[in-house]
Amino acid sequence: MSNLSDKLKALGVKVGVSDIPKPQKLSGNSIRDVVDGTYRDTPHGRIFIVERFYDSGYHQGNSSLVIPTPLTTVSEWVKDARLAHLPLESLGFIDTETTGLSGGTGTYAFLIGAGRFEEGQFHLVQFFMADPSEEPALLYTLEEFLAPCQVTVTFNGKSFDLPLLRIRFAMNGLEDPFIEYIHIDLLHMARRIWRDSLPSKSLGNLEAKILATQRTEDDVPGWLIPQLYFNYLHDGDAAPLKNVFYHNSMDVVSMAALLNHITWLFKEIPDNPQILPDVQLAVARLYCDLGHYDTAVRIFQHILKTDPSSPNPLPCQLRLDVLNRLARIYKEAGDFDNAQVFWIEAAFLNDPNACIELAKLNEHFLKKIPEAIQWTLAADLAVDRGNIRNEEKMKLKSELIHRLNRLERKMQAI
Amino acid sequence: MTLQRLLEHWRNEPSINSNIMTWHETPARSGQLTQFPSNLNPRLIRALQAIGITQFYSHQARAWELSQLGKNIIVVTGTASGKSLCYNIPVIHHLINDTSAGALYLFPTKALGQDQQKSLTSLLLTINSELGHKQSPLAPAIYDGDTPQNHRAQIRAKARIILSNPDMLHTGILPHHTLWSDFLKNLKFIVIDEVHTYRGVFGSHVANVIRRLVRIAHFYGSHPTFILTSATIANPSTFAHKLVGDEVIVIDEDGSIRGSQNLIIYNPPVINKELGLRKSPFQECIRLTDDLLVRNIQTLIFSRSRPSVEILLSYLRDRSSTSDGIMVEQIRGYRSGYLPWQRREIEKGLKDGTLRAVVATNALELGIDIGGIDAVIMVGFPGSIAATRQQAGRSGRGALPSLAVLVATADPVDQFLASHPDFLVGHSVESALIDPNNLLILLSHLRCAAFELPFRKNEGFGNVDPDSLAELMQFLVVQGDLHSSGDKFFWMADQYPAQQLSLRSSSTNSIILQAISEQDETPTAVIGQVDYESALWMVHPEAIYLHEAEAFYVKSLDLEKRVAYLQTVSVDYYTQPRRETNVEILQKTIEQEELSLIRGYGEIKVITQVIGYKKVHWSTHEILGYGDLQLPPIDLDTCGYWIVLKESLVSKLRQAGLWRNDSIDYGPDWLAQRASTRARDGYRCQVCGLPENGREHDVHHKIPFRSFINYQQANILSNLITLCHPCHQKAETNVRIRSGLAGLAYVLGNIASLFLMCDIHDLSVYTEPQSDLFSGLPTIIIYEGIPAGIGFSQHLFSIHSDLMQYAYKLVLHCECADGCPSCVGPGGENGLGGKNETLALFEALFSNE
Repeated sequence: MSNLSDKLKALGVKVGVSDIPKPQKLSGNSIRDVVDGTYRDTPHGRIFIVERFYDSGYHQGNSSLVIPTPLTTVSEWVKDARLAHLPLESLGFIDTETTGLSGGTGTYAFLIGAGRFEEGQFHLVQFFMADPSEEPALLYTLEEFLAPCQVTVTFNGKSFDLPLLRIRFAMNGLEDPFIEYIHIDLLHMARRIWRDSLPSKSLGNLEAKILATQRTEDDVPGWLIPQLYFNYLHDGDAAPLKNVFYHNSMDVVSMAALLNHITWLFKEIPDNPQILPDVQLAVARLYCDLGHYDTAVRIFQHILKTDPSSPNPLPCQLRLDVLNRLARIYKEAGDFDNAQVFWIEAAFLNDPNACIELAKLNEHFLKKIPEAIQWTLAADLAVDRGNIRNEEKMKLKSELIHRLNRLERKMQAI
Repeated sequence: MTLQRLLEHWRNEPSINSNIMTWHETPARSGQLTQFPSNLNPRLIRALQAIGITQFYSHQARAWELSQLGKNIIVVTGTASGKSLCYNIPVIHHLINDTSAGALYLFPTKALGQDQQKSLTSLLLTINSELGHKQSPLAPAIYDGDTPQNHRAQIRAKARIILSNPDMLHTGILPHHTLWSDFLKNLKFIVIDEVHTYRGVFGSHVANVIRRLVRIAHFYGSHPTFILTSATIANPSTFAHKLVGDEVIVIDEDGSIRGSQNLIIYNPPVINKELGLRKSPFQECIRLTDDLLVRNIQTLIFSRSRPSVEILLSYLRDRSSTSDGIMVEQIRGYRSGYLPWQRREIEKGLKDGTLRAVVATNALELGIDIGGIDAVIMVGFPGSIAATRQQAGRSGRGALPSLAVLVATADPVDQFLASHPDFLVGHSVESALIDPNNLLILLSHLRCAAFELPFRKNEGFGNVDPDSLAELMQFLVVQGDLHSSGDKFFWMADQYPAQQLSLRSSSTNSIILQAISEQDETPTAVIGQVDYESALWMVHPEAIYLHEAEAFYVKSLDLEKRVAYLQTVSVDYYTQPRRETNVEILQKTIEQEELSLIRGYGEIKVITQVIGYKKVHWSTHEILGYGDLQLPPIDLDTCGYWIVLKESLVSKLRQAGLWRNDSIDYGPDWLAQRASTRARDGYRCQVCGLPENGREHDVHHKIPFRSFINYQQANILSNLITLCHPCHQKAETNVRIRSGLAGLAYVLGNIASLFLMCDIHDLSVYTEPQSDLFSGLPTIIIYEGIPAGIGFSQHLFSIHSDLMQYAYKLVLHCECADGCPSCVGPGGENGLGGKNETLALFEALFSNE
């Protein structure tokens, strides 16, 4: 009777080292030899923990960790007013290292890095599941650590880390601990703020370009991490995990620094000349979305004034964006004079959109048909001169023809 | 009544009634009705009355009874017998009484799911309006691949009746089951509709998906009851048990009201006796349809392929423009290539009577509500008896009489059924076979199950006991998928196993079927996939491949990239691969020796190389041409069933008394060629060396005379050899045995698929007149196309004598002269077409048993 392995081999299943017996956990390095941590006991067994405290003076790159101001703007951005009044100690930073990226009930978080502020210090703890059977203990200690917090801060956690952790708690028959928590996903913030300035908004790139931090060669690329854990499970050698711990700790600490930097930006814009116009613009747009038009206008004005002399002036498209937005805000407020000023400036930069807005303004609000016609013709010229895609051009042109026809009919009627 | 008058007409019209092989009349049935059970929720009673239902059929009442007792049931009553109430009633009753309970419905097609959602919703209308604000409305929700992302969270949270399909359950629900925790915790019923479609490889996969579902339900503490429905099969109880892993009670007494049913098997007349060619079944179908339409009898025509649907449609429309009353727009086609809204339109047109004739593929076979049609015509056997009954069952409106006609094509199975109508009308012989413990299939699902929930060391899976399971787990540990720790096995791999597993294939090595445009060969759509092994003979370069009844031409096959490129095509032929096959027997599970033969089944290795193909005309089955191919050989480890003719039988056959001596005219040059051959060979037997001694030796055609188109080719000297009489007899016997063996294999191969309810491609037949496997004896091996097999070989072993009897009768009663594609195979090649030889073989086998 052929045995199972032979049968499977014959059926074409790729057989691995089927004839080699499963190796014992070698006397290769245990985790305690590799990172500076201890085992902590919990009602569900023990769990390996690495802890570190960063004092108030610590800087990750050019940024300290302790946030000096309340998170007013962030609170508006996440649409939860509670956040503006919470103390720093209520923030819980989380980053997970997992056995895969596909999600689902078969993906585990084997290393969870969590950080919170305690009396001016940043307390980082890394919880490590040396074996999947330790998961209950892992989740227990994580929940315990985050109990004093009311906010979770992650990088891409909204779609990855938090759903994954919820699945892990559910698989262990536990309630979802994050139900009442406010959540800040720094990736989403980063995408808004550095939309035009950085091609990649990965945490690593932000760390390098914004925080000016360099990682040492102890770091390991994220895609390699699951395999390192599987190797460890298989051969018991924890040495390569050292890099994973390093990677994870850098992620958590950088998140804290990044949040600090972002709140600093909100405070400093627009007065601080060190902040580049494209970032200022992004923040101004954010203020528009939050309804803070006065602040937005102040920033836009500031950009227009200082941009030409800045070391990195705005590309034409963005400058036009500023002008158009300003004009629109003034128009909505009923201040047509100011609105015109900015649209005219944009028109001189060959912006067809501004010309059209001026035509509209003259036709419907100022009731000046001849001027409206002039602006329509100017728009047409601007379309020809501008750097516009063909389909867009066709659309605009046809719209302008309609406009012109209507205006000329109105002219007749007068 | 117009239908009655038509039937009278056909009975009396000689040009029609002479082709009617069988006319089976099932008398009208008044039905067995019962009052609603007293404990049925009154809201539900009112809802039923609101849609016109005032009583239950007996089988619906029985389904209710048994489900109240928490029993699993399978309802195997006929079409249009109100099977959906058998599950909807218990489910709705329970869900009204228990506001947190839920039910999962699985359908084999999206269309069926959507149809059931509509009828459920109307049934629930009154209930929901009564419940008003007291309870959130019961709204059956479809959750499948097409459900928009932004609806999914809502459905998971709120819906208590979920309509889905096995594929979605496999990749979309089970691997994310924590998102369904509330639903699964309160899951009370699992309804699986049309379970007979879950057979073979697909069924074996689905059985495992159900095992995973049950396992996860238990994790959340629920123990749902199964309610299944099926078309008639021979083995509902065992099949259902294998599918859901628990005992299932069969309800097969149909209490519904039925008008009289007329089932006619119509065989187009033979127009060329020599070749056994019959009149075109399409032409005959049109003729019969004319008779129906002219009397304004609404007709549904089923045809086996999309091209044939289009052909029938255009013929019909041509005729209708000259016939009375019916406009071209009232004749439509229906197949899965049409857009959903078009299909809905046609279904509605059938139901409200505006469409008078529809030509459809089997896309219209499963339960979608089209009301009742008066007449159904099936052109060609639909592939299984269950499907035939489903299609025929589409005709019939309540208590009115109905008509179903099966027009036989030249296919052997069609011809067999034409002379054996008891197959269609009697008790079913078709068994739905699955093997959930097929090693490859089981393993692939164990990986998925481990991903969903770690395995405990003392756990079983379905009916796999803990010890065997532990062995399989260990295997997966060594493979690197699982990590063993404490008393559990954890999934530890950076993959999502369900995504890589298709429920329709048996190997992880698949070839993608990529359709490309005819003009510039740009990719259009992926139409499916096939196993690597099957790909070499199913989609070899230049093959004609039929997918969902549409014909494709394989432009090229890229084995490295694992893609086949196909173009839609409209041709009048199909292709058959020419293969060179070698077989090794790995292990004999059972072998039995009888007087004239040895038979058995077990594990075999088949090494096949596709060396070319033939083009075969698809209605006459003539061979139109050949092609050569260069493809690598394939190893297939599977199960096979063998029949070996013993030496005693061979000797008997050698005593040449068992077949008629053919007096063949060998042509005008025969005498001359014969003399030249003897001279060339020195007047000696070329086998034993015996010189002529007074009597002239015989001259033997190496390739039989019959195989050639003309006598000149047959009689060329290189095809002739001098043999003494005894050696000649031996050689002739060999040729005849080869011929008889081939004929036997051909007919068995065709009939077997009928008994196994499998696709003809799931089985292959290997013959070797002098097999090394059995000391040089003539051997036939019927083997399964699926690695490790699915139980077909075993089943064939057990039905051997029935199989042989039916096969014999088919050949005996065939109207051809000397063999044809409908009985022993197309004549002429390698000594095939040996009808007499095959009959002799059968008779020799039976005479000793």
